[in-house]
Amino acid sequence: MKRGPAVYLAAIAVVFAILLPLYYVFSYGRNDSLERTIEQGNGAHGNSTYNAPFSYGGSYLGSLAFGILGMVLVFVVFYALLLVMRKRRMRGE
Amino acid sequence: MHIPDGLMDPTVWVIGFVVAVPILFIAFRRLGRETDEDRMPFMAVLAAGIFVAQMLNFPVAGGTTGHLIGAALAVVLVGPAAAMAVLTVVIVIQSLFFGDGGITALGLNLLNMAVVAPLVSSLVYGASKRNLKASIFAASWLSVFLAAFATAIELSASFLISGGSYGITPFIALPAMLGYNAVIGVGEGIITVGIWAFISQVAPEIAKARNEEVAQ
Repeated sequence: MKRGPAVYLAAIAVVFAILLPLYYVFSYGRNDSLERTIEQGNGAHGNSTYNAPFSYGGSYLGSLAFGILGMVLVFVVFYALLLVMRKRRMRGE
Repeated sequence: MHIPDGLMDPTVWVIGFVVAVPILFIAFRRLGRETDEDRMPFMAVLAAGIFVAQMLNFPVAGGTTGHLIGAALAVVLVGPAAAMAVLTVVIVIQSLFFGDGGITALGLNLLNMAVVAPLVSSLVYGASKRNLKASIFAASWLSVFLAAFATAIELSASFLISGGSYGITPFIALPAMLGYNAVIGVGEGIITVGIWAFISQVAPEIAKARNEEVAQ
């Protein structure tokens, strides 16, 4: 990568901010393929015993904020995992 | 395509963990052995990008929506073991932090999107290199279609094992999941080829390095 990861993450966030209104216009509130199949088959949909701390938000700004939060979280967790694996490999060599 | 809690028979979701976890363990070990330090930031950025892309559902026929899985994109850019690891982190964070996909269904979601989809993508992408764009499109489409097929089988198995208390009858699960995802797969293919073409233009070294790996 020619530039630091922060530049690429910022670029992804900008693209996300541009595309998110299209999601709200064309897809928000509509079921995905699995939800549609559950609806057609009258499938059971039990409650989860686990409550996640966040959601994807129900407004443009909410979704944008949670999307960026998730993006950073995924980056940090995956990079940390790679660093741990590299350290373990170096210790083994 | 994220399976929620309460939909699948316990036997089926336990099998999901039993099958997915060892395969992903092997993928992470392989990634740990092979990962080049220079590629680590790119892999993490790719994982972050796939998380965001999965939030952006696009409309398909009949008022249904679908979203990118990103398995083929990850396989094409970083290889199958890294793709499995990328999707594992994305799916686990979606489930634990955002409630997208159930906790009990996590094993099945990992099996469908972090094991089946990357494996299929890798097989198709590795088999044909004459027309790279066509091969990437085929890998993308098949990864979505077969991940949906796996989901439909799990829904059907849950229905049959539980006597109808869980899951969906195969007569509905199979045609509905395969029908919708045959269309969603086209979207996945177009997006994947588009992103690959863009990255090949702006960062040709990434595409070149990966092509050399596949050729070996």
